[in-house]
Amino acid sequence: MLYLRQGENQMQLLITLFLTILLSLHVEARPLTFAPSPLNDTQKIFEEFSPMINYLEEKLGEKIDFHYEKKYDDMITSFQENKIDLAYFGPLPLATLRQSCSSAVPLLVFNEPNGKSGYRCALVQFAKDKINFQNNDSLKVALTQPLSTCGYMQTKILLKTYANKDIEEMKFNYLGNHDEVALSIIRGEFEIGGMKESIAKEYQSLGLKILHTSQMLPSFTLVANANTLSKEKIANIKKILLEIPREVYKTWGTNISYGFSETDIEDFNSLKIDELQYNIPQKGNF
Amino acid sequence: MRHILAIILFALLSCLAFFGYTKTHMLEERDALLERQNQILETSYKAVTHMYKVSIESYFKYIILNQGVLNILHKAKEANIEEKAILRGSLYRLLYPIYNNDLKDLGVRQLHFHTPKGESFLRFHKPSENGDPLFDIRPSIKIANIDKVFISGFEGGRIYPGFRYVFPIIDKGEHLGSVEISLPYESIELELSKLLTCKNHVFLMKKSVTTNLVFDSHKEYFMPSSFSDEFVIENQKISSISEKSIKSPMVDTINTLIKQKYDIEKLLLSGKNFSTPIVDGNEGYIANFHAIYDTSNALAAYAVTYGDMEELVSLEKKYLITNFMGCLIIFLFSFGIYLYLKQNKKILLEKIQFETIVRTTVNGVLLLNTDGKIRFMNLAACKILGYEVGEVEGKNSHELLHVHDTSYDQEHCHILSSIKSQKAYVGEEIFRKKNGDKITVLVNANSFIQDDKSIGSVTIFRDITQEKKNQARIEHLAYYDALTDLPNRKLLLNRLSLALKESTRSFEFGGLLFIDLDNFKTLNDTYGHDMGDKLLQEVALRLQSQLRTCDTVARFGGDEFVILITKLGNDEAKAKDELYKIGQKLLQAIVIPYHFVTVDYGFTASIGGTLFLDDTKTVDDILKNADAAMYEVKKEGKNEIKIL
Repeated sequence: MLYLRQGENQMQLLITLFLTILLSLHVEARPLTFAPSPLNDTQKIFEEFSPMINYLEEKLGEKIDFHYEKKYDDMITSFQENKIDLAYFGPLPLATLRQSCSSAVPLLVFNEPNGKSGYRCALVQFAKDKINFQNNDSLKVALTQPLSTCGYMQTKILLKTYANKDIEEMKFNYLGNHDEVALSIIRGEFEIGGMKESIAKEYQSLGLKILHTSQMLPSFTLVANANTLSKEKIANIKKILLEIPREVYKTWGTNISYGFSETDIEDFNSLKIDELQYNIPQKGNF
Repeated sequence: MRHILAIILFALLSCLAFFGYTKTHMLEERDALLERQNQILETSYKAVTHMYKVSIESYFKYIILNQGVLNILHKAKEANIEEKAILRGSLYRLLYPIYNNDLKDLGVRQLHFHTPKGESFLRFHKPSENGDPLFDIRPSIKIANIDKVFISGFEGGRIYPGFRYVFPIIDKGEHLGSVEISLPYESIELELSKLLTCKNHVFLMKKSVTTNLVFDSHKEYFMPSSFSDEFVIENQKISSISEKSIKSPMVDTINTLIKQKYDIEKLLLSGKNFSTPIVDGNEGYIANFHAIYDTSNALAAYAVTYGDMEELVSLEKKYLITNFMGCLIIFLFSFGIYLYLKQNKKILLEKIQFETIVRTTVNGVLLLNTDGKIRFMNLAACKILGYEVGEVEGKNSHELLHVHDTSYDQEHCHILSSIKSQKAYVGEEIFRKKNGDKITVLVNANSFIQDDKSIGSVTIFRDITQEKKNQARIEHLAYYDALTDLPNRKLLLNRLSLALKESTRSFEFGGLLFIDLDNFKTLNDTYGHDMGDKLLQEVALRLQSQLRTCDTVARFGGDEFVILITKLGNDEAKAKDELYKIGQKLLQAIVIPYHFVTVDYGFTASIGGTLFLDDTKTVDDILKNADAAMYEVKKEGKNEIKIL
């Protein structure tokens, strides 16, 4: 009997080992997958991130595919389903992801133009438009995405502090990305909007005016999926990116061309505690 | 062996020449096919770009160039940076609906306003990128703003290359800058694919109009082409054309074969339209490369179309079959030449042999055609007949040479008949010499037969005139005495035998007289044999002169003569008397003195005779009886006649 029980244990061990190998083979069978921030314009995304991905492909000796999602919600879901190995997350979506997915490992944060990690959100309008915030409930507010850091959450704060207006009392809608927020305001489709300050500055040459900016926020982060990547590979990716010479990354897309910094996980923990108190609507109100 | 080697060499060289000819011909035929394909592509390309030009001109004139736009541009000329930014945004706001709806629907990718100084004022496709100078990299913008004329063509740029339509903007005489409306190749390809059967396209662009020009952040729009480091294609991640072509097995196959079979880099840098026909087993493919030049007339890109082309396989098969058949014919022809030369050599040898034989033979040789005309007469024949060489050729042999005893009708000529009957003729004929003399010739005539038809004859002849004379002489000597030319003993016995039979048949008596000259030996001993011979000859003449032609005088031997007399009638006594009288007459003739040069001589003869009537007596009996009668005369004193 003792012999049989020992045999059963050995059998269980073998089955477990087999399944583990099978699972790891299955995971390793597909190319590495990178998910950029959700935007409607895949061409712009590709243009922004492909230099970094090409660099990583070369250094790792592995092919890396793009995984496009139009919403942070879908991106988080795909990450949880292990369809994504590496992802570019803003601070709020990352905090949301980490709440439900412990395998999400923040690797590095992307520096801002000033060379430091952290960025600001901005409240913007078209300079030619004359906006009367008072007694004007028909003002239309352009937002990026519900889970975008500069989306509903920071725009709500900026409107309150700049114009003493509650966003809930205004018309707002989600446009998917920062560029579209800027362009829709220039086109006159919205009167004001909330977006990342660095992107807003790109549109100043088209008359986009920054009305107000937020406090410094944790930067966008490169997140690794510990379920699909080994610790060694995660460490290797981190090492490769931190050692990239400036001459290389400065030619990359605007938002990722200022280098990388180590992640301070505490920044995200505090953000999670503070910001998730807001009840963020998932859809616009008009 | 030398001939065989020469013919093999000839066959091989002929095959090579034939291969070269058919190859050239096939290439011409193939080039015509390719030229047609390229012309279709070029015509389609021109039609599509022209169609876009017409549409875009209309959009520019009637939609873009409105008063609102002109007002903004007027103000922008004098505005500061802040004001210019607001004007830029205003222009974007004003024209965005047209750009986003109408122009994008048309296939336009870029709507781009430029300042009069050639700076980018507003890119609708990339609004945040503006203010950069363009004159140095965009000749079309320079021309539109310096020369103030419309210009169109393919050109590189800071964001994308494209098919540019650049219009100068002039309002109320004031130059406000320019605007360009640009199409990506996708738009051109979309329309091209409606006109062409090829469904796979690739747009190869030179680096000079793409990666060397665009902002660094846009370099990723491009990826290396599979053909050359000097050319790129749009990145498959942003180009449906590139993605489709990269995923197409046919394009992959064709590209691989092109790289194997052509110096494609060199062809691409030539800057000309070209096609790369490919036959791979039973599959035929073609890739047409249509060169596209930028506005400064430099090679900028190639519009490449890929497709099947079964005609190439058919053409190649036709070429192979033609070559095979050509080689077969050449080798058969060469074999024919070999046989001809071999036959010719044999004929030449035979001709030499024949000519040698004909030239050296002592026999005359005549070649006649079917109507008897002389085609050839050899030297021996000329000598025999007394003609010069070549003198008689073309003349009728029958009339000229042949002597016929009875008729001159050609139908009765043995020689000419032999031609018609295709049978050999051997016989004696009489030929006439040039001087009119006739000669006897032995003729051997054989007709020439070709396809069962006689085409002439060869007549070989020999002059046998002398032979005939000699033969006659020999025959004469066999029956006549050489000294007196009288029938000899043999002929006498023969005639006596005939006379005996005739006498038996006619029942008439014949008689035989045996004459022996008296004392002839004394003459020989006294005057010699010559004198004796002369006397015998004289005696012979005298005896002949006394007799009828039907009678026979024969020298029987030495000085003995025998006379055969026929037709003496059936009365024995009369016959005997008649025989006696003849004997007397002969004796009288003999005894007449003989006058010779040196001497006159006279002598007598003894004559014995006998009659015969039927075959109761044999020839020997008759001779013995006549001889016995003559001996009795000798015994009784000579110079007398006795008939028993």
